[in-house]
Parts: sequence; structure tokens; C-alpha cells
Amino acid sequence: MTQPSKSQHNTTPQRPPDKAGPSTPESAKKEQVLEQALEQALEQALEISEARHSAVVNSMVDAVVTIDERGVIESFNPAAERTFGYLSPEMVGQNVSLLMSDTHRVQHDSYLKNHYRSGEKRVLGQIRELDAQRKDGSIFPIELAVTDLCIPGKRRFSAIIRDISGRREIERMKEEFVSTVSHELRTPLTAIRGSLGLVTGGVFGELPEKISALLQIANNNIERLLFLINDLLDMEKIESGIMDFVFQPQAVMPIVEKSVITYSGYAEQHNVRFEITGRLDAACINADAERLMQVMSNLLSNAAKFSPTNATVTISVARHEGQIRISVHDSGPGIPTDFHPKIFDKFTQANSSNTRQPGGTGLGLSIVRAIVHKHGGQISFVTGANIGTTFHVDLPEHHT
Amino acid sequence: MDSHELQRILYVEDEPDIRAVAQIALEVVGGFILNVTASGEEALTTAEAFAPDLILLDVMMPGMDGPSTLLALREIPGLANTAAMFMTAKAQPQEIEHFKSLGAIDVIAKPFDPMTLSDQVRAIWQQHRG
Repeated sequence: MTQPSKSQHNTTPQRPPDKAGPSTPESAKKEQVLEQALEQALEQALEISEARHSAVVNSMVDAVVTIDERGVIESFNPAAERTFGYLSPEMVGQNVSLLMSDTHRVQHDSYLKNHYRSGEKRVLGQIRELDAQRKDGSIFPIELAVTDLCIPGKRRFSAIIRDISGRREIERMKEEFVSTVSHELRTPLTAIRGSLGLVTGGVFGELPEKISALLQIANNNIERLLFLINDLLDMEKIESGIMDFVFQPQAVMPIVEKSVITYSGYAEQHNVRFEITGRLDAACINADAERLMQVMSNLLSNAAKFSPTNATVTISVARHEGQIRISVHDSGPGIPTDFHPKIFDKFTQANSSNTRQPGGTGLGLSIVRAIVHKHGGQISFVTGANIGTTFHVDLPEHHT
Repeated sequence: MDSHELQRILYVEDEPDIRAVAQIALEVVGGFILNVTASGEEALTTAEAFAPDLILLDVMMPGMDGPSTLLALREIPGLANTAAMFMTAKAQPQEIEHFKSLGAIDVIAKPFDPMTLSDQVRAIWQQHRG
């Protein structure tokens, strides 16, 4: 809207020379009227633009503060007033460091000086989390995004600030919830599992066959419940970012070999064999070995579960497109096509009528994917009715 | 205290049902002699007279928790160097390291398998003695 009037206005002094000859009083008057009209239009356009701009800034949920190159506040929107407890007239002309906690205040002053001198742009364009201070002195966590305003001849910065104390509180509650659930659910299960385990273990003598069979059912389902709780808690921990990962550069083969030995029980249970068919003995990855074992546990148990009796599940390690690829292959019936898009979703399982061993939590593969992503890797699969299923885990190679 | 087998275990657990299960697992299956107490406070009153080879502690307990119970037990002259283990659901590698830094030789993960608990405890104890 401002463009046409602006360009007309700009061209006025550059009219071609043939029209720039001595003007009659009448034409001079016309010109003056025209110029006034243009100026008015421009002013109006500017007003509209400004009104639109301030409507946006004033109705924003996030605080917006603009400062000059010395950190002096030039504008302070209503959300900033709500966030910090200051009124705009109090703050305009003040230094922005007033809004920061003591530690950040010192850093900010020296940073602005540096930025002005060296053009170093540490903050610009990034979203950072730090502590701010309200008028009443209380400290609270914020998310801060700073942009450089392009006003000719002036350095201006615009800061968008979001109060994230609510989000932090939710994170804390999630953490507490996970810990409470973990303890409260596991305590009774520990007691039930222990009691059943002692009785079915024959500590108090042999049991009649029928009673023994029933207790075995109870025992198996307690195990299943425990798996479910563990998976749920793992998922919750991964999603809320409170699962700790300890990454260490290490060889990939020992992890794969250990997993094949540790989980050979799955193979026996389903009458199949695990076999390592491809090796990369020198290859290293930066990994949390415990978590990768969890990935292997899920992939191996799935492969064993879906394999026909007496089949072999093959595990191989190779380089693929510059990454380390761990593959687990089974010769099972393949994954139904309509299930492909959902396979890594939570609580999804393909119709289990075609498997010999239903059960499982439907969380395994979503946990696997989350762990693989945390390692900077990807998981994919190739499947078909005649070729079985292969899961590929691709992880970045660690070069020493 | 040096060359004999693991026999006497001081066991502290606040949950009565888990206490009962673990007691059977350790006494009947494992053949150990147990001093079973329901709280850290109770353990402190009986520990010295019982003279355990091993201290087995739950972590989360009202009042004195496992780590503070161990700290207090260490003040008793005869128990300053007695081997100790925690039993807890918090058995992730980092958590295990934390408990070891508090003076435990290892951690038994909950839920435990009652049929193998005694073997597990004995194996850790022997490994610790080298």
C-alpha cells in the first residue's frame, strides 16, 4: 500500500529536464498541491502501517522489547508489562539490563560492548533460555529471541521474550510423576512377583499340576505387566527429556555380540537361532551401550517372535552410506502394508492373529526409534511376504 | 571377618510384603541368617549385637532412607567396613554409580527374582572379596 505513493514521491525531484523549465505561477501551485497530497498519502500510509504493526505487537502474547545499541529501551509492549510488572513509561529510556538476573546483567553489558565493536553475533537469530527478573525482584526462566532491526544508520535490537516458568513447572511435575509411578507401581508388583516366584519355584514343595499351571499364568502376566510399566516409564522419560544418555566412543561389535548372547533366551523361547553374519570389527560409534542393548533387545525379540520355527534370525553390521548399519533380519511373514506408516507409533501392533506369540506392549519400536534418534541415527525397515523383515539401524561412525 | 562364607545379613525394608518375600528368599532358598528390620532407626538399635557380614538396604523409606541409614550404621565401630548393598528400582547405570559412591559394593534391582536373589547376593559378595 505504501509502495505506489512512495515511488511517486521519490521521482518528483528527478523529472526529465524538458519539463523542468521555468514554471508559471499556476503550474507551481499545481505542483505544490500535488506534493502536499503525496505527502499526506505517505503519512497516511505510514500511519496505517504503524497502526498495523503496533496492533500486532500490542496483542502479542510474548513480551517484545526494542533497544538501541547501548541497551536503552525504546519500546515495551503490553505483554512485556504483564511479564515483568513494569509499565511502559517506566521502562522506556531505562537500560534493558534492569530486566535481567544479576549474573546475566554483567554478561549483557560486556556483550553489548563487544557486539558493537566486533560485530560478534552470539545471540542473534537463536532462541536461548535464561533467567530474568521482575519488578518485584523475583527471578523467572525465559526464552529469548533477539533480532537485528535494519534501520539505516542505527543499530536496533528487538527482543521477543516468553515466560517459561509454566513449562518448567510441568517438566518438574512430569519428572515427579515418573518417579512416583515407578515406585508405587513396582512395590506391589515386586511383592506379587516375589510370592508367586517362591511358590512356583518349588520352595515349599511340589504343587498339584492344575494349581501350578494357574500360578504360572499369574506369574507370566506379572512379568508382562512389569514390561509394560518399564516401557511406559521409558517412553515418558524419553519424551520429557529426563532419560539420561551416557555417550561413549566404543566399538560396535561388542555391543551387538553381547546383545545376541544376552537375549539368546528369546531365540530358545521361540525355537529359532540368532546368527551374526556380517562384522565390522574396527568400527566405532559414539553410543550409550545400555540404551543400544535396549534397541537390540526389542529388535531381536520381535524377530524371534515373528520367525517360523527352526528359522535363523541374522544380525549383521556393515557400512552403509558412510554410516554404521546394524541389521536384524527375520524370515517371518512380513509386516502388513497398511501397518507400515504406524509401525513406530505408540501402542500399535499389527493384527497379532498371524503371529505365534501375541503380547508385547506396542511401545517397543517407538522407544527403539527414540533411542536411535538420540544417537543421531535413523531406523528403517524392508519387509515383504516372501523376504521376511529386516530392520536397519544406521548410526554415525565415530572416527578417532 | 575375612575368610568365612557370607552368613549373617542385616536386612532393612519398610514394605512388609516385600520384607516377607525377601526374608523367605534369603532364609529358605539361600540359607542365610537374617536380622530383619522395618526401618533405619530399628536397624541402628540391633545392628551392633547382630554383627552382620552384609548390610542389605532398601533405598526409599520414610524417616531414614537407605543412604542415611548406611551413613549412621558406619558410625558403629564394628560396621565401619561391613559390605553393603542397596535394593532399589532405581538401577540405571548412573544411579548404580551414585549408590556405589555412597559406599555400597553393588545394587540389587527391584523387582528381584526371589529364586535367584540369594545367588545374586552371594556372587556380588564373593566378587567384592576378590
